[in-house]
Amino acid sequence: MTEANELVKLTAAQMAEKIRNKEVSSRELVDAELNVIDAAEPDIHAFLHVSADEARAQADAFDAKNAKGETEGLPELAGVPIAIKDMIVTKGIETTAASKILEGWIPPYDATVITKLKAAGMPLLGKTNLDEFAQGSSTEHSAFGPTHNPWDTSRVPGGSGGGSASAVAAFEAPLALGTDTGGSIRQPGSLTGTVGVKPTYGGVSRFGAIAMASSLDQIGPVSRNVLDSALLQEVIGGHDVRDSTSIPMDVPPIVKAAREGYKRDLKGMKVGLVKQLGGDGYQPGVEARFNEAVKLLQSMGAEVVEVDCPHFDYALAAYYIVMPSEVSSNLARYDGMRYGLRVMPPEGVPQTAANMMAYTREAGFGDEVKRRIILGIYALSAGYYDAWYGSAQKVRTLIIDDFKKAFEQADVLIAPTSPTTAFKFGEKMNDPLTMYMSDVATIPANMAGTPAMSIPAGLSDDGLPVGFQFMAPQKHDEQMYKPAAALEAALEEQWGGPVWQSLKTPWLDSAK
Amino acid sequence: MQGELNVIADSINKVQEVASDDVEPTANPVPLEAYLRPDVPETPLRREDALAGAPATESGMFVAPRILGGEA
Repeated sequence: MTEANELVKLTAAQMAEKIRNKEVSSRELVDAELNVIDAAEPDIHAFLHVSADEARAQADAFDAKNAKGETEGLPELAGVPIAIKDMIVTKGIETTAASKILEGWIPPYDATVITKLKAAGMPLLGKTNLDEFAQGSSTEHSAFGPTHNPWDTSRVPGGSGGGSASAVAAFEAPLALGTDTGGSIRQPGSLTGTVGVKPTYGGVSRFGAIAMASSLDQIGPVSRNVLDSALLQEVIGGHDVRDSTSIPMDVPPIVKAAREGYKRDLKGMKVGLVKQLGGDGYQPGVEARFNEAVKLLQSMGAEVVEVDCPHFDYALAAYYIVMPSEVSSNLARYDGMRYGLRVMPPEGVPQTAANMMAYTREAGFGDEVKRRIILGIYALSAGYYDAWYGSAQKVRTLIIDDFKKAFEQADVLIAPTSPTTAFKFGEKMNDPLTMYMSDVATIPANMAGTPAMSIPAGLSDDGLPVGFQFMAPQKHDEQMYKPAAALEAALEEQWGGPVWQSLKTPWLDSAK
Repeated sequence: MQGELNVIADSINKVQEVASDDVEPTANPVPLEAYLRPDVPETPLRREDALAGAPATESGMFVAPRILGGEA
């Protein structure tokens, strides 16, 4: 094991501290990560594009400023590199949403979160793989091939943000950004033994996030521990006039809450166990790790109460009306006119705009995206809008009411993140309903706009990671960071270190 | 595809079990008052940047195939 390999195993906070102490430069961190990326990618395929030149240039620019003492006042993570889900636009760096319809597209502007990362001096390592337009739970729907789970490369890393989760799990990056519409940050976190956070809807600007389902989408952090996610969310969060759903408020005190949590004192905290999220369909190994973690929360002084959220049983059905409806509307913009793919009709077919759009979409969209567009158009059929989309919107109200009642009894809610550990490639591809069940425990938070996060709860009896989910009230993300940090600290004490100690990393041995 | 349309039909039936007349629909889960951003001038995207990703351009404009059908 080389020194550079030890470097990439540090947490982002530790990397930042070494930068501040001038023990390591941003450039050294970037080079170390790029070496791991070179070595890991043949097996993992977490990245669609590695922006090595840009990352080195950003790191050098930061190091030059740091040498002159001009980095005062920058966020704590200044100089630490990060990977970006290819659902977020980056000026001058190809952005595809893992779709052939956007292959080769170079965005002319940066998403707000990218502007903030650049201002913080955080180099962008590259763009990570996903299910096409973030539609899927395994990354198998990427037009450019799936990402592999570092814990077992014959298995999926979850999705849609499998690339970001695998990159962080495999030490190709200390941090990443994801987007979460129904669980696309948290479920991959669960399946790869990493931390994934979906902030409050509107807590992080979505300007420059490629739209999937606009009433659900949220950008959030991916990391290997709770504090790193908190630090990253403080960098990217906050009000943005370019996003009309952005909440005009400051980021809640999440870093403070995480640091408080590491003291492992949860006396006075009430934790609500959601009755509806468990039991049938949840693997015994997932439930076992979950239940042990609940006991640990109790041992730190938390009071655990069962909460009843009867309308969570309707969340998946409502999601599968709301989501495709909004997808069908959002993806209408890919019309071959202003950017992206254009396929003209073959000879003999009238060369009209309408025919061009049809041929472009036929060639440019994959099966799952087409499936959801068709379902969405059906759900929005003229004359049925109120009865169908409208009914699903009413279920959202009922789910929000369930959350409100639950938060009268508890400060934070808990559930397994996903009912299963990582599954094999192809296992669920022919059965969309089983695939959708992967998100049954993450969807309620999207429907209600509440913040939620997944942290590793250990390994199931199959040796694969299990995720533990916390859900907090809207605009109070700090209420989940505290118990999440406490649980992480308690679990790591039991394990004698982070969950990734059990991860075999042959690619690190071959890294330069 | 027919099977999948049945799935959405099942979803519709399921939500209609509880979506009664007295429940208000939710469009944005975090209700916000609409507001105007400060009226401060900004530099917009330059025309060449906006056109840079276009499949076809001419004289600073997007080129679209003809809109109407008829003789090719």
